[in-house]
Amino acid sequence: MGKVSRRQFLSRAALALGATPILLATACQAPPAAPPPAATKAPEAPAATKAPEKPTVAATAPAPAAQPTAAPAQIKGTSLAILEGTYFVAAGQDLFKKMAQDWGQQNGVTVSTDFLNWPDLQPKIGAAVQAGGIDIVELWPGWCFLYRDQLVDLTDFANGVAQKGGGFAQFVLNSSLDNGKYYALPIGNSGTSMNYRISWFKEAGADIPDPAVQAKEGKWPDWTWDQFFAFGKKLKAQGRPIGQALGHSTGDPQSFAYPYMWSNGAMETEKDGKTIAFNKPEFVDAMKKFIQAWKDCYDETGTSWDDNNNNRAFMSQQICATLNGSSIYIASKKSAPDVAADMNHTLMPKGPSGRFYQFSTRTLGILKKSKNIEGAKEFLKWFADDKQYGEWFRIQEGYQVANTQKWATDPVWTKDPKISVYTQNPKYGRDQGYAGQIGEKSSLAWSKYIVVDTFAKATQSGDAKAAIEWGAEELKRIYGG
Amino acid sequence: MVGSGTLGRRIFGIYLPLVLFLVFLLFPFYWMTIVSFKPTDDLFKLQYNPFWIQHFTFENYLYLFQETDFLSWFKNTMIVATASTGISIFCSVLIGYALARLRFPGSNYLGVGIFMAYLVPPTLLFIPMAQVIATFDLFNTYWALILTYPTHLIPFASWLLMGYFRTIPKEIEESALIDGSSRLGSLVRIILPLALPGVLSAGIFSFTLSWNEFLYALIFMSSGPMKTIPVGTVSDLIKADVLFWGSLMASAILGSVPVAFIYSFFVDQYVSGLTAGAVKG
Repeated sequence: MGKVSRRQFLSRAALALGATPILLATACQAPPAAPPPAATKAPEAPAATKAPEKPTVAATAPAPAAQPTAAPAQIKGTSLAILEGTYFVAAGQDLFKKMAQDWGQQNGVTVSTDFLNWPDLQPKIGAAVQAGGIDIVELWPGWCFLYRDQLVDLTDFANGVAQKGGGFAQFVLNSSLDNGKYYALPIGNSGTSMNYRISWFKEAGADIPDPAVQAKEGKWPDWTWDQFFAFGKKLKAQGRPIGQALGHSTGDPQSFAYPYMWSNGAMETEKDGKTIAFNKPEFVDAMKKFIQAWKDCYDETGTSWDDNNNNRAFMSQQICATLNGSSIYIASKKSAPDVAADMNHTLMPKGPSGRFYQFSTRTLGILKKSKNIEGAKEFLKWFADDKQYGEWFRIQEGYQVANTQKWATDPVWTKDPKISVYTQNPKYGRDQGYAGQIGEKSSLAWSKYIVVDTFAKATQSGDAKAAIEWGAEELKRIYGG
Repeated sequence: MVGSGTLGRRIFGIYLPLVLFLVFLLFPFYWMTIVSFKPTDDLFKLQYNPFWIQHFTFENYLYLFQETDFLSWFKNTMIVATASTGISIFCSVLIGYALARLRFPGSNYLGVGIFMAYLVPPTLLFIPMAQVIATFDLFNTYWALILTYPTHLIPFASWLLMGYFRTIPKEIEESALIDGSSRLGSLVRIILPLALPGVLSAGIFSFTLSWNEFLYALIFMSSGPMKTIPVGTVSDLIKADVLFWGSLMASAILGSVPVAFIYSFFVDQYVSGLTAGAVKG
C-alpha cells in the first residue's frame, strides 16, 4: 500500500465525512409505507337519516370470554411499550399508567407507558409500523381500518370481551368490526354533549328541569337547532355568545360539523359509500341559517379555535354553551366551582332529519412489528377484565362511554346527575362516512377536515352554496362518486 | 443617518421604532413570564387585568419540577444538543476546509451535493431514519438523536464554513506552510482562530436547531423521562383539551434560557460570522 500524504489524507477524510450525510440520507430511503389497503366492507351502517329511538345491542359470534389468568411464564423478563393519546381526564391517564406498571411487576415484564398529544400520535405510529419499538398503540376512531395490515388480528379475543359484556354497543360494531374481524380491541370513546349555563339559558327563556329530574326521568332539554339559535341570539346580545371551534383539531369541530350536516339531511355519501350526498338543498338552507346564527349567536373567533379554546372560554364565563365532553365540568369543579355549579349538559340539538352525534370507538391495537406480541395480548386480556376496565372507566367520571352494553347502566352514570346525558351518545351516534361505512376513505376525508372546512368557508364567505359545492367536490375526489 | 439630526428626529427616527420593535419582540416572553407566575384560577377570571399578576405564585414551577421530569428533559436536551453540535462542527470544519482549500477530483460536485443534502426536508426522512435507528437498536437512547441531528446540521455548517474559510487570504496559510507548519497545524493554529466567528455562528446555529428540534425527538426518544424539553412540554403538560397553562409557560421560559444565554455571549461573533463576505471592504 502506497504512502498516503497529509494532503491526500485530508482530501479523503473530507470526501468521506462530506458524503456521510448524503449517503445516510439516500441509503436509508426505505420503501414507502405500504399503501393503505383496499377498503373492505364492514357490516351495514344504520340506514335512513332518522336516528333510532333505542340503542341496539349486537353481540358478534360467541367466543371464549377473556379471563384474567396468570400470564404465561414465557413473557417473564420481556418488555412492553404502550403508546396512548393523552387523556381528557388526567386521573384516567394516571390510573392506566399505574395499572400497566402493576401488571408489569406482577408478571416480570418491564412496561413503559407513554402518552402523546393526539395530533402527534400518528407520526409516531407511522414510524413504529415501519420500524417497531412500540407494542400496543391506541388508535383514534377509523385508524384501525387505516393500519389494519400492520395490526395483529384480535378477533377471537375481542369477541370474548363482547360476549362477556353483553355485546358490543352498535357504535362499536360500526366503527371497529372490519369484514368480520377485529384488528384492535374496542375500548369505547369519550362522549359529547351540549354544555350550557343553567341560569343564563333560563334568563333567555329556556325551560330547564332540575338536574336530578333530568337524570332520573331522562328529561334533558330537547332543543331543535332553531330553538338553540334563538336562545343563543338573546344571550349573545347580553355578551354571552355560544362557543364553537371550527379550526383544525381532532375533537370539537368535527363533533359539531358532522351532526349538524346529518341532522339537516346531508351526508358525505349515500349508503353505497360512493354517491356524494353532500350538496343537498336542505343542507344549503341549513347552512344559510348557520351563517346567520354565526353572526347572531356565536363567538365569531371560533374559526381559529381548537379543542382547548372552548374549555377556557367556558370556564372564563365568556360563552354560554359549547359542545364538549365532561372535561369542562370535571376541570371546573376544581378550578371554577361557581361555573360547575351553574352548568349542565344536554342533548345535541336536533334538525329536520333527527338528532345525531359523531361517535365511534377508539381501540387498542398490537403492532405486527412488536417483539412481544404474546406479552401485549396478555396485557390486553388483563386490562379488558371487568375489574381493571371498570376501574378505568369509572375514574373518568362519565367522560368515557364504554365498549359493551353492560356498562350502560353502571352507577357512574347516576352518581352525578349532570353527566347522565352522556349515556345518550351511543343511541344517536354515527360514524364518519355515514351513511356509507367508516373506513380508509372516510378517515381521509375526516383527516382533511373537509366537512369542518365547509362550515368555516361558509361562515367566512357568507356563501352557503359555494362552500357546500366546494366540500362536495373535495369529497368526490376522495370517494370517487 | 444614525447618530445625527436633532433630538426630536432621533427620538422619532431611531428610538421610538426601536422601542416598538422591542415591545413586539419581547411581548411573548413577557406574557409567558406573567402567566407562569399566576395561579390557574386567575387565568380564567376576566375581571383581572390579564397583563399583570394579581396573585403571585410559584405553583406552576413547583408542578413542573415535582410532577414532571423537567430536570431530566433539560439534561437530555443539553446532552443531545451539545454532542450533536460538537460532532457537526468537527466534521464541518474538516469538510469546509477541504472544499475551500484543497483541490481534488469531484470537490465541486461534493460541495453541490452537500448543499443539496441541506435542501432535503428532515420530515421526509424520519421513517427511513427510524428504520436505521431500529436496526442499531438505538430507540430511546441519546445516540438516536446525537447521530441523526448531524445529518441535517453538517450540510449547512459545512457550507457556511466553506464560505468563511474562503474569505481568509491564502497567503497567511502559505506563509505558515513555508515556515514548516503542516496542513493540520495551519488549520488549527492559523485558520481556525481567524475563522472563529464563523465557527461560533455555525455552532450556535447547530445548537439552537438541536435544542428546539421536535419531530425526531418525538419519534426516536420520547419514552418515560427520556424526552427533550420540546417533546416533554407538549406531551406531559397538555392533557388532550386541558392545558396546564402556567406550567407550559414556565417550561417554555426555562427552555429558552440556555439559548438566550449563549446568544448573549456570542451575538457579535454570530453576526459577523453570518455576514462574512457580504460586503467587500
